[in-house]
Amino acid sequence: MPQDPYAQNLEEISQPPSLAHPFGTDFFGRDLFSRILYGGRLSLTIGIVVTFFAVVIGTIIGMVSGYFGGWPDAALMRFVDVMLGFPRLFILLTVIGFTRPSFGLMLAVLSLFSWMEVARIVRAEVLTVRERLYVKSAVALGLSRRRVLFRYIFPNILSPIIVSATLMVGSVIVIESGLSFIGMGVQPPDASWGTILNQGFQDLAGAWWITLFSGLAIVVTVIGFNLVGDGLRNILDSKTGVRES
Amino acid sequence: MVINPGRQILLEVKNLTVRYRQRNGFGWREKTVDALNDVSFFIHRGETLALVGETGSGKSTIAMSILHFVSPDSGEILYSGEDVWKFKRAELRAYHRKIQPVFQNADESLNPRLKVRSMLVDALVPALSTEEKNRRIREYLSAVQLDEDVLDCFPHQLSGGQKQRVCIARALATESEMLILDEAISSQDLSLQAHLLKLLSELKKKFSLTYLYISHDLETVRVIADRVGIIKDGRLIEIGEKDEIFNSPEEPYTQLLLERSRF
Repeated sequence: MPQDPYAQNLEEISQPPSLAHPFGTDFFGRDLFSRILYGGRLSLTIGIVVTFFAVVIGTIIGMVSGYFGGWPDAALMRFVDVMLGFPRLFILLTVIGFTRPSFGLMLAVLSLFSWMEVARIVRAEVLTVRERLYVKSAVALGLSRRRVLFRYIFPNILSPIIVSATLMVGSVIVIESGLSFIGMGVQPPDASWGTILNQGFQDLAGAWWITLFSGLAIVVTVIGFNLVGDGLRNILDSKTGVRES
Repeated sequence: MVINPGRQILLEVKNLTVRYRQRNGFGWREKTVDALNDVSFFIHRGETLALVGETGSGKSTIAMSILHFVSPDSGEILYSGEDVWKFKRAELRAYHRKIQPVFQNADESLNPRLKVRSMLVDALVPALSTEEKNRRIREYLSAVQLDEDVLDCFPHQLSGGQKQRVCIARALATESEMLILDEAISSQDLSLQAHLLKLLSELKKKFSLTYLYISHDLETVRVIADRVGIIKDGRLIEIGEKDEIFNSPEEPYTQLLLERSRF
């Protein structure tokens, strides 16, 4: 069923959904279904890669901050406050405005401005877990700080990290779509869902299917990730979920 | 208080004072609460000193201070004559291995994500060979009367008594000299308590341990202690040989505690 997402066919410009083109075609006669499938690769890659880097950075900073406390904690948390003070979207627009929009640049900037929430969550979790008796017992075993951190604290803060990572994928996809929508993200002829959405917007009344299906792709994916995140939270959080033992 | 010259003092607590600071909701006006006020005592090598007090009397703060988790506002804690709070990191790690805590809540004391085997391995001297580690793990397990089946269990698969035994085995595995038993058996039911008391007495002989036994329960203290100290509102109000305290207590509060425990 999927066809070449870049193959233009001038005889089939702006065709409504049909059997041959289940989502219709765009202004260049390209099969929209194929373009949305291929666009999903870009949108999901950005969502997942950015989340991965944000979680790694946030976890490291949060763990250092929470475990060592004192001035490293104060310094890192002020840094987090400063980073949160920047409106993420406008920073992105500025950076991209000064350079050429590219996939790598978007990954880098989004990653660098997405880790703060994770850092805060991780720090709060570390602060709770480090007071647990099993951590105190581990310290009393004379274990090194690294061992206490990675063997006794980290595995016990993993569930909130997984949950917030899952929820973050959705929000990154939305930001990416927003950027691509205003032409600052993925550039044609490559297409992410935001780019396709933008194209559809040019003739909303004439070719409604372009906007509808690319929009639906975003909505369904984001809701999907959020539902998975909520589900994981219920399963992993022993306070709210029912856990088999 | 008679100091027996033939016996070596292992741990000495001198004029220990710990205050907790409380702030009201706005962060104004710090209020300090005396958790411990000028507490002094010592423990001979090989003896069992029991500290008795009601909930909130500060007896757990003493344990936390000895374990280097709560810093004293004034006073000293000397282990074999050395000030514990002046240790550098390497010395502190060595000290920690010599004094091991066993807490009341065994559930909370075991990392839920580690199997019993890994926990015990963490407690052993890292330099040992694998066979030697396995041999010692078996030795400590049999010392606390646990089957080897528990090695591959996570804590949540064990019963309360088993968990507490794992905690004790872990405390032994560091080749410790002293155990700090902070209400260690209080949450178990009576028959298990009797059993664990017997086990603790055996372990003490077998591994030549020193115990600091912290409890609110005078009945178990009567069984296990050599000397008894009474803590009230952060002060050590009376300390002496077990028989003195139980048969001729001087302080009215001690008499009151004894009367209550007779029920």
